[in-house]
Amino acid sequence: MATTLIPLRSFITLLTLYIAVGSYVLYISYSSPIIGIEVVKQDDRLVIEHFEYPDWAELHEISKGDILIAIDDFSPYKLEHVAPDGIVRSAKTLTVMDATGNNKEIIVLYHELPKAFSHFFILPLIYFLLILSLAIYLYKQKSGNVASLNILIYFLLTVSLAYCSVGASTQLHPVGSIVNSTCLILCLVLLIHFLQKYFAFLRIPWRFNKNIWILYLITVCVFLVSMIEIFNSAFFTLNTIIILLLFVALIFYILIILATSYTRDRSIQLQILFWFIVLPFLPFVIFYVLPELLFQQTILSPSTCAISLLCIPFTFTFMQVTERLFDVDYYVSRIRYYVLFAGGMTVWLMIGIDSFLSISILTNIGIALFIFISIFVLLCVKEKIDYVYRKVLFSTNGNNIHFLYSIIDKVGKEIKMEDLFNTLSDQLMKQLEMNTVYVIHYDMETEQISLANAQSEENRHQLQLTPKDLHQLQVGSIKKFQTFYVACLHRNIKTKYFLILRTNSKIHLKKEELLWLELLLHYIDNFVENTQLVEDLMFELKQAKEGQNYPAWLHKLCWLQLEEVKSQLGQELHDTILQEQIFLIRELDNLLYERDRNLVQQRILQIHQQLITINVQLRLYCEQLKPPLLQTLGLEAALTKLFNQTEQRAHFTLMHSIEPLLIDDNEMSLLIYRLIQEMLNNAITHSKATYVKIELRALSQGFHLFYMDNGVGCHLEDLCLSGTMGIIGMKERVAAYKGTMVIDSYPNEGMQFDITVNKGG
Amino acid sequence: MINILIIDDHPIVLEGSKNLFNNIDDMRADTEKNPANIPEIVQKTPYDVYLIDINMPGTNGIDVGATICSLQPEAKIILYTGDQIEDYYSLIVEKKIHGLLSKTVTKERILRTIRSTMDGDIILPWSFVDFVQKLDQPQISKQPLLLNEREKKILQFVVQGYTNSAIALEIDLTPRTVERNLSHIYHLLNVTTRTEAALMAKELKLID
Repeated sequence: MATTLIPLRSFITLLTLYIAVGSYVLYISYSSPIIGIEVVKQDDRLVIEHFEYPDWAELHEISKGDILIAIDDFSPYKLEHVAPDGIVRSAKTLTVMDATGNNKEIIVLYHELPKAFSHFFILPLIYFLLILSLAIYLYKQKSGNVASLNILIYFLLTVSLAYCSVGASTQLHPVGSIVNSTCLILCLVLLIHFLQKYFAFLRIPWRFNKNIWILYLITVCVFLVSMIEIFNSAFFTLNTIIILLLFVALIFYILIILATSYTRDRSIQLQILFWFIVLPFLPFVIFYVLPELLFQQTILSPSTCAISLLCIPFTFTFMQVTERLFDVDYYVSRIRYYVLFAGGMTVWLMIGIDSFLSISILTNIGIALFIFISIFVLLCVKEKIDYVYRKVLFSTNGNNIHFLYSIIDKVGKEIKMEDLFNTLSDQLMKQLEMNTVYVIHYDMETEQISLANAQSEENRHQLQLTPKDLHQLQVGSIKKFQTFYVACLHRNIKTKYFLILRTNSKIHLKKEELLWLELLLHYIDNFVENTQLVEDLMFELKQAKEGQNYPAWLHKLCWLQLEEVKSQLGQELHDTILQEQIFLIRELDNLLYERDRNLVQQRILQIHQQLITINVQLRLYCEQLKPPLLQTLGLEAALTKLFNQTEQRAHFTLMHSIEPLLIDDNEMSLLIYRLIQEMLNNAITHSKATYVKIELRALSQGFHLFYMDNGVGCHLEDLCLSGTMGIIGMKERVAAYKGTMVIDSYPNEGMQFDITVNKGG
Repeated sequence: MINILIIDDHPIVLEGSKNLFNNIDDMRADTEKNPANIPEIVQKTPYDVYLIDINMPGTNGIDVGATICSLQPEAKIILYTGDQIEDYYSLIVEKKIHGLLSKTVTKERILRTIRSTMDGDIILPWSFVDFVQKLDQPQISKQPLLLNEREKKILQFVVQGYTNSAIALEIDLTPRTVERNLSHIYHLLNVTTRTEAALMAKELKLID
């Protein structure tokens, strides 16, 4: 498979050959204008029976029935072989005898035959030049897949030659005939070859003839047969039929290839290819080939039919240049949209014009065409202007928006710079079909470049970037270098981050991709800034953890929290125990003056009892602050005590099953204790349940805690999450240990908590 | 003469407790507020009875007791706590201590407990017997399991063979609610099917 482009030398030789052959056949076409006069032989005379261009005949006052005396100064007797089918195709001069017996010599001038001139010379010439420039452009641009590009260039040149030689071939000029016949078949063979390469590029399996050389052999045969025809004109009709049959057969072969492939692999490229080939061939097949084969008569001349075929090379170039699915989709949808818009508008305007002015149909069509093209061009120009000045783009499928969304979504989840750059690079590689995307770090002081994300060793390409380039690039701007793009991602005082995008083949980002990338860069700039802040903060915390040197703000936060708790506690102690003690002090003070010994003893007993009550109360406070037994007898004993206390206070049945933890972790024991304490407090104060069930299961590195009751429950959105139930506190505690907490509740359907904390996973 | 060492981190408690033994002829008490000094003291001048506070900074009375026993196996350890002594009954059963005393009990009770401990007896509240009994029959809830009205109704319909949708119609709920209620009941009763739930509910007399 050819994976490199045709060498420059061969390309120049090819072009020279093309120009030489093309110029020669065009010269033949020009030197002898096509007149298309049908004659019949009557008594050794050639009587004119039909004019292809009656306007021209009228101009020279010749009519049907006139006798053709000489062509190009040759007597018709010697020219019989020129017109074996009775058609005088071309002539420089004609001598005609009219009905009155006057001989008239007519010099055939192309400007008197505008239709023939445009068909056989002007259009082929324009096409010849167009294809020439297109081939040079494609060769220089090297866009798309190289293997199919070579074939495409051959194909373009062949089609052009086939078309240019139509004039010469019509004149039955030997060179014209050979070029025309050979190129007609060769271009189809090349088309099949192109399809094979293009399929390989699209990774669609090629299930047809793999030996393309057989088809090339056929072309060689056609060339030889055409050569024979020069020496033996008897072959003419047979030859024409053979070539036409071959032509039709190849066309059907191509259509079969496309149709069967499309049924297997419904890609938009195949669909477009199919219509690009079928549509231009339809007029040729319907109006020329089939009538010629079936009735030996044509409806339209091949030159007229061929005009539609001329679109094929351009459509293939379009496929080649815009090879990616996204592009095809994008362009097709845009063109369809503009055509619909321009068409609708044209119909509306034409209705208006027709109702005010009465003009001929031809003028009507002309005006309609003019309006249509104007609107279409206007829309395209508007799009260009919108892009340049307003950064607005036509887009129907929103692919770019979608990718922007998904990239931002993925990148936004990263909390480390390196991860962020890796994710960004991966995503861009996929979206822009790049081979390598990575981020470099540029130190503006030392002018050193280093990799910011170590994707792989492959990334270490030698970048020919000068410090000046890098200094000049501002955040959000993209610059194209020879083989890669550089985009500035982010900068701070000392450093800049650059994104490098590179493909193995020729790189070319379209304007919409560039605009998209620019927008993404602005987002990423913000992300990098925030991620850096997070990283700094994490670093500070890590340092603090290692050196026991917590940051000042954390100290402050802890102190403030502590002060709040102290203040709450102080208030509660003040309102309860302190007041009761003040009462006892007064009582004791009174007792000092009490003379009745019995009464004193009685009062002392009462005070003793009161003190015990206060003591119990205070003990409860202490237990609230520091769970009893947890440190001395462990979690199970502490929970058993908690359950016993709850059963004494609560109106529900408490069912519990506690598994001993597998790990000895005081913090985790406290966490479990606090969670269960909070659940039971809620159950007692809010639930109105008739039962509560608590299960604690040990996990390898943590625990699973399940709670359920059949109480009043609530809507999760409102009551549960209001501060009253301490659920937020529970959630925060669980979250601090990287656990999960699922709450399930509906009004009157009880409440369930499902908590899992597992350090190991 | 019974030699007693009182170990507590609160000086005021130490003083009060020491005063209890002031006029007792057959008892003599010393105090120590730093648990870290205990091993040295035990090795130098062993005591007969150790009254140890449970909650002490950096350690606890149980660990201190264990240290003393390892150095002086014949020592009598009595935990002396402001907490409820019922919480520590398990330590007696596990033979980690020889007695338990609440800080709020009378002087008479303290002296009696020390003397009994020296004689090899145990003086404990009657609640200790409940504790020992419960050891053999764990997980018995004090209150019988009760369902709420809706759960009872649903279970009754389940017993009668109603489907969830039928139950939902009967008690004017959505089938989804009935389903959730049933799944709660399954979980409560540790069953997985309607039949099991119905049988279990009857067995536990949750429904009539």
